[in-house]
Amino acid sequence: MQLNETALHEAVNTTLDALVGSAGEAVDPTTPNWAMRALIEISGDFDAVVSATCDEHFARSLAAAMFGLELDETSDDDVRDAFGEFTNIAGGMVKSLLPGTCRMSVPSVGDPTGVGEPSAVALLCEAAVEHEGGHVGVRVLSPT
Amino acid sequence: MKILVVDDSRAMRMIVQRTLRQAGFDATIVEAENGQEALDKTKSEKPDLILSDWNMPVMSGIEFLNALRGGGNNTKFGFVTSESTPAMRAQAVGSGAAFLISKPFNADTFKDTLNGVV
Repeated sequence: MQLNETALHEAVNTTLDALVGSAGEAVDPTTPNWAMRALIEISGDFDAVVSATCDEHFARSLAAAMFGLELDETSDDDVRDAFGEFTNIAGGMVKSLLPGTCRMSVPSVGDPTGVGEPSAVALLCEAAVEHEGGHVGVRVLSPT
Repeated sequence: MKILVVDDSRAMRMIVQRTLRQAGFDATIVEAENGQEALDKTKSEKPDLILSDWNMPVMSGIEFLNALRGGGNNTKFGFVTSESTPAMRAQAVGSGAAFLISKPFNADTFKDTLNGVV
């Protein structure tokens, strides 16, 4: 399989299903108010950046499911950790669809204003889903 | 049985523990968040099995495995990682790993893989 929107959507939902037990519904990637971003750099035969963003509800729900907590019991550290791991797994699936041999960085996670996408990149593909009222989007970018 | 779970994500360490229980492995779990901490805990805790992420800060999983084997420690070792190319599998086995489990995984994956090892 090659990297395209269908494959990316499948990667997002496979990751979600594994971590929280159910997949989401496709939505317009431009809709939500993103509260958190995680970036992973892929380098080697193919250079790319995986940029995952989510709203507050998705981030809290993900952390609650992964840690086995109630929504209001999740700390900010729990939320960053959980979203970083979500991005790490989805990023690994993206990497497996890229040609050649590549390496993947550990995720950088934070507020979208603090963890910004690099400039001078082209959008290769993107996918976003709604999951139990929360939203998450993943973009794969390549340096121009 | 004592299992050392190594991952920089606390959430993933919890999920690995939960999956081990779901797969029927009744083990004492020791945790480490990078290869260096894991190297120290391998010496102090003497686990029967090590389940390690690959991509971690401070010391990666493959650096940890190489340091472990270089020091003469032959504790059973498997990777649980989001990266699993054929080249990485070959490198893992070449360095002395018994298996490589790809994230995402489930209890059946753990049963199928670990039953032949422990």
